[in-house]
Amino acid sequence: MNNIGEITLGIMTAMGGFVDVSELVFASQAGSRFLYALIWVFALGTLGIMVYGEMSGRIAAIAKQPVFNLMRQRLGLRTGMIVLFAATIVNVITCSAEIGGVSIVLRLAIGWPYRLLAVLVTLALALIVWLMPFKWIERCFGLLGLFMITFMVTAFALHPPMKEVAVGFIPQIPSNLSTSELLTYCYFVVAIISAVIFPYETYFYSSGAIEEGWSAKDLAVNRLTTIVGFALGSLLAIALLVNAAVLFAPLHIDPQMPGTVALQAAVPFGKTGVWLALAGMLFAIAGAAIETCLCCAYGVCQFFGWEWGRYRGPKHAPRFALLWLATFLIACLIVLSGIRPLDLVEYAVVSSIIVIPFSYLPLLLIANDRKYMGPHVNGKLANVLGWGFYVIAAIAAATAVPLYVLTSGGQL
Amino acid sequence: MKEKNRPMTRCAALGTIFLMALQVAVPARGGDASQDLGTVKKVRSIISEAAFVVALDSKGDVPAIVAKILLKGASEELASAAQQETNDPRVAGRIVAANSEIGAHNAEGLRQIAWELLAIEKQDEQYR
Repeated sequence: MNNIGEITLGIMTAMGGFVDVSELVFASQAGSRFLYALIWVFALGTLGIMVYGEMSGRIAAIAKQPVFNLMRQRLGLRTGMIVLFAATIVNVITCSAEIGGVSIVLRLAIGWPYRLLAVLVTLALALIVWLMPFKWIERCFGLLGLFMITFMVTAFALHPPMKEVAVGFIPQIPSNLSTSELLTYCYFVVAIISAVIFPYETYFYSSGAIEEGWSAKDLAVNRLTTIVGFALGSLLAIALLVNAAVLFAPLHIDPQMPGTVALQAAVPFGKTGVWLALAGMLFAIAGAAIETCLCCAYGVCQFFGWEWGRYRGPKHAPRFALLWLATFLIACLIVLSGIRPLDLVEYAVVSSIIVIPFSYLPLLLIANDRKYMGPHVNGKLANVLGWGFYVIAAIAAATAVPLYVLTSGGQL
Repeated sequence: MKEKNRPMTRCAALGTIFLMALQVAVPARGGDASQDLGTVKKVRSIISEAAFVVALDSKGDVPAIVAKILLKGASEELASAAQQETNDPRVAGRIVAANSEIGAHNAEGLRQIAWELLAIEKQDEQYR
């Protein structure tokens, strides 16, 4: 019974923690620009994060190796350092986008100035990370992020055309697109894949598995959490897209202010809907801010073999504590610099796709290595999906920057 | 393994540096036609968002503080677009008009301006 409770909790945590500010922005914009034609990209991206999430959890449980340790072993010191540097920059930018997102949500709720809120949010998050045990952080934000279900209920209440929604799951390119619209569509394909499979998610997941001392007996929980939890989480992102297609597309709204997304729930549920949606956004984005911040510290410490982990405490892992505090500080300064939160989200998404192939290659190699994994080495299905998705991620990485330039960051 | 990954290393490094450079370069492309079209779309969307907020607010479907902050945000975004992103008089004039409609809480007026901008957008797209 205890085990079932633990699994359910794990699944719900994964579901609530799935959506972050980039999915909020890109799902809504995708729905308003291309109706249901980009749903399949969310489905594809979710398949990717399931495969790599499961793989990273399995490696953590069996080989007891976190991602950045593997990176150094498999890519060598020089290549590994470059990937570490790029991943750290991406994580800092993502963390600042998340802090900006939380500040926007709080500004909507209490009306205080954005910059003041950014400082207070950073202080509050730092205090939470300092004081709360790892499991509590993961569970609290994951479970409170379940307020995001408001968007799923909204989707049903809006009665979208179910046939068109179902067709959206089939890979497609809409007909009658002009050249610039086609490029923008491709940009959204790449951006959504990047937003769904943000590398910090696997860094955090595998580091968390090691912090919690996973072993072979946790493999079933790992599989269920990544498959069921991420699938349900993905449905939340798809609900955002569907709501935007129903509500925003006819009004030619291409959300430029992240706060507008909360209004999706206002149409069927009025003020209560808005408050619930804002609560979901607040906890989902704040959870992602903590994850990205910790990932910076995880990455550097794991790479250089320093003591790391929330369970060790600042006295025993001082470099780890300093690193996550520094990440919060730099992310806050980026927000205070006045860069639009939406721009930060775009930078984070486009830059993260470049890092993805380099982050996931060591995972694939180790998961196939019997020396490390023994009988828990990748099966045929995991390999086909893993390498298949790797090729997709590599193509997305190669096209991300040209598409970003050609479409002025999806604005065309 | 190390040898195999050297080209990938260079790609990663160059890609990252290129992207960082872009972050500085892209906002600076003010005179570019595609940048102007992007601005028209952005401004049109902000005005449509403001119309949506005003309409919901007038029905009492949005908490007052949320509506107030969203409309304030829309005004700020429009002012910033007018100052930094467009020299097009067709857009600049409509931004001024939209700001006064936001002040007047006039959803219909905002929708009208958004439609006019949509027409400009289509015209510019055809011209391109």
